[in-house]
Amino acid sequence: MKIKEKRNSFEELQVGKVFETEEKVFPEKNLILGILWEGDLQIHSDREVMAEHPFGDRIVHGSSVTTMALGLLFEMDPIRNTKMKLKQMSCSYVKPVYVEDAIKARFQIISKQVVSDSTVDIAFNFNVFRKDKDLACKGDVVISMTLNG
Amino acid sequence: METYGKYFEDFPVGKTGKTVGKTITHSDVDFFQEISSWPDYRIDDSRLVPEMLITAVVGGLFNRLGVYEGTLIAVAGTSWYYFLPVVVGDTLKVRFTVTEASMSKKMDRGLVTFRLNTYNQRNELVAEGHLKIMLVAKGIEKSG
Repeated sequence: MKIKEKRNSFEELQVGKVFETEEKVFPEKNLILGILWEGDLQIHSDREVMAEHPFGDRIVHGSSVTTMALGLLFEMDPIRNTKMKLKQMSCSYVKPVYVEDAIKARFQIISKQVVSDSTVDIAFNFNVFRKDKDLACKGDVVISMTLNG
Repeated sequence: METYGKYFEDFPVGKTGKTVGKTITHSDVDFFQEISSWPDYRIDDSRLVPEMLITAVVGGLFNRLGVYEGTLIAVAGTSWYYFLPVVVGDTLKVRFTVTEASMSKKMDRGLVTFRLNTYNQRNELVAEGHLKIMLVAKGIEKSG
């Protein structure tokens, strides 16, 4: 279990800083829960139909990929020690992701706006890769971060 | 591919519609956190709904309209702005508007962009999404 440390400043979060996340396999249960919320469109659930589709197999929900990538970022120091609120998110999908694909992400800070003594808005651009090389999606997020305590 | 959804031509710019609602439960947030490792936050005694769960739920409400089952080729992109906190117990519903529509040169498919205004049970605008999808055009089905 990771112990949350009290943050004293956002000095480590400077424009240009890059966060390379660890790699994580996209499990089937994430697809099933994506279906629970987003619906079981045949592109996500019908292997027979998707065998004839250019994608070749059922694909996972794009928002689930973005969610997992952000979750990997949120576990990284020093971000994990702040209280975070997602303010904006945009994402373009480049290649599909399939169940059991390993994904990882690269986030880079592109702007930082101090809102108060305890809160900053940090904008990142990001790329999510599958199987260590294929660009699956890319985009930008703005996250409001507040000091713990 | 067997189709049940609507085609590119069914979504001219300016077309509007609305979805049914969904009440967000503690279980929704529990499941979301299990798969995402997102933190769990509260405002006063209320449990916050993670923003990407709002996006997923809105996607589901929109899907329930039967908009693109079988006619969706791909989701090109999405963007979201989150204005107000959503907490467990809130009920979300969506009003959509087609903001862009462009046919491919081959006339067999087209890109449609929807604005997805998302409201809570007090009719407060809590989030705004933009969803760009590629849909089959009617011509390709008639010839196939």
